[in-house]
Amino acid sequence: MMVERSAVLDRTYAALSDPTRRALLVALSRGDARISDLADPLPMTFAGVSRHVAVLESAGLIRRDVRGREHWLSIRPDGLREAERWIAEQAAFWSERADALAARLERTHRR
Amino acid sequence: MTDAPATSAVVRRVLPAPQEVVYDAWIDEDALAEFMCPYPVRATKVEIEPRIGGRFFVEMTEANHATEISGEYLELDRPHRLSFSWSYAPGVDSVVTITFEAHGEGHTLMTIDHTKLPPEDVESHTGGWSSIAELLERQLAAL
Repeated sequence: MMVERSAVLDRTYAALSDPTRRALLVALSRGDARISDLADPLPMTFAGVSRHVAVLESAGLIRRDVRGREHWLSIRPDGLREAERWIAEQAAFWSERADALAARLERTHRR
Repeated sequence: MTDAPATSAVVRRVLPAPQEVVYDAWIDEDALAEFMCPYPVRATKVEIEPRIGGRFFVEMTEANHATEISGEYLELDRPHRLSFSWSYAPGVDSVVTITFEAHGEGHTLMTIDHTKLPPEDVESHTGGWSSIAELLERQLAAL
């Protein structure tokens, strides 16, 4: 695997490895929000949420837009695409191996 | 958030042989060399020690590019279940679990479940991978 791609996956999965950040992503999947909107339902300070937001932002999973004096956050589905493709590739890898095993058994086991 | 099933690649196949025969193919170096490396991939090295803690090593070569996969056996329960760790790069660790179930006369339903664990260098490597499949599904459904 290329190092660059591996780094992208590391960042994505590191960002997703925290339950608070997953909850933030799920909240944002329902619509754009400000940090204060996200912080309200969580037992966490604004600064705490802000740190998690920064991690998600640097992993490319969310985007921040400044509208007037407010910072609005929105989800970037593209950010998850690499991770999703990776899982699909693993399934394809094993599917080929299972086919090859089936072919071998057809040959060696069946008379 | 509670732990959902971990993200994994799952492949199922009905195979034309009884459980014991299918199971044994996974702990046989010649068989592994053939089916783990289907054309155009070549097996350039297969070394396995099928006992708990024993080594699992496969070197696959495709177009002069070699990939080394190494791990160790975690579970050997002939002919039902086989599990080994699977790593292809430093810090990448995952687990492959294969289950074999009787499926009609002389056939076996084989399930390969490749579970990915988060890289070691992330801040938390517990519970991290959980819920991602669910999350991915949700994100993709929202597109």
